[in-house]
Amino acid sequence: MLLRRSGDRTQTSFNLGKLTNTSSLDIGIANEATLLTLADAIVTGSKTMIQTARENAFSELGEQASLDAVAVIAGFNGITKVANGTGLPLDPETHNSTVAMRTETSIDQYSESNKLQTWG
Amino acid sequence: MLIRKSISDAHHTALEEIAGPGTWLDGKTRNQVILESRHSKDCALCQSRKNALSPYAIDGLHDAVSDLPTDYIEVIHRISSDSGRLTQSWFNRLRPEMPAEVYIELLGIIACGVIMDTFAEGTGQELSPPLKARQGEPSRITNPNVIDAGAWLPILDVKNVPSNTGLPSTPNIARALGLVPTAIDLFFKVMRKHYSLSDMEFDLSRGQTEMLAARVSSLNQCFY
Repeated sequence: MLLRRSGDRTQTSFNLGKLTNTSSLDIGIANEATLLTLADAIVTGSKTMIQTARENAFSELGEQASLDAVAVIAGFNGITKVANGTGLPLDPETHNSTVAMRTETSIDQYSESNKLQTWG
Repeated sequence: MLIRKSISDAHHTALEEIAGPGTWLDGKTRNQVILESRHSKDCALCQSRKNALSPYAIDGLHDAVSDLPTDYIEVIHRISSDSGRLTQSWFNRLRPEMPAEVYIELLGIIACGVIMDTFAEGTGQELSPPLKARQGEPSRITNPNVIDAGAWLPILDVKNVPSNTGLPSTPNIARALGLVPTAIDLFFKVMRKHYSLSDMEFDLSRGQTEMLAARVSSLNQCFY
């Protein structure tokens, strides 16, 4: 999760738990509620939810930033298919340096071993 | 609407490439992958599995819109609709009927199509229809330059060095489609216009960008 590295670089501490719904505290990113609502609507919502979220984003962030947000959301909706569809392990360096973050965010629940245990 | 030209150009180029012969699949088949991926949202079996506690408890046949083989349709629908709950057991059941290279070419097209379709849906635009399929035989060139790195299939073998992002110079995600180098080219031709570790021209901060990336990864139950 590069958000953690981004925070390290600017000496900012982010509450990453909200990203995986393991914490209700704000993350600490500008416009986070609007952007997260947009991401949730596009990945899991109906056309109406997407339209509402997009209009709110246009109003709060402006058109270009909102469309750029949609671009990032779309990109990661695709690239996660590559990772999930190949059972891709973390790079060794990342695996070793993200132990605490994975615990904080419960990301380990998405690991191959956990998925195998849950669904076989 | 202020859609960046770099993005619309990349999508058009990808649709052109998809419509032509690939390494293992012909243009008509590659176009059908895009259509099947879209149709997974309307597939009753996919919806039942998505709503089930375990997708592996639900049997049945997919609603298909193409004449692709049933194992192709299983791959396309499952990856498009519920990739977060795929397991190596599911993957192993597909083999040995489906060659690993064919699986990878399918996966690259699916992922590319998901990006383009998600962007269209997110911006409120119509989905682009596939372009007219071009005749031609797949090249069927195998890539021996792959290595077992713990994924379900071999990935691209590269010599990695640390980069200034703290990640390896070629992270696993850039190697995952390594069995079919043209799939890597196709996918990243689109992906690079949607996200980059540096030199992004977007009107978002790096923090906003990474927050969105992490949220979407979580919604997709993606460990990587």
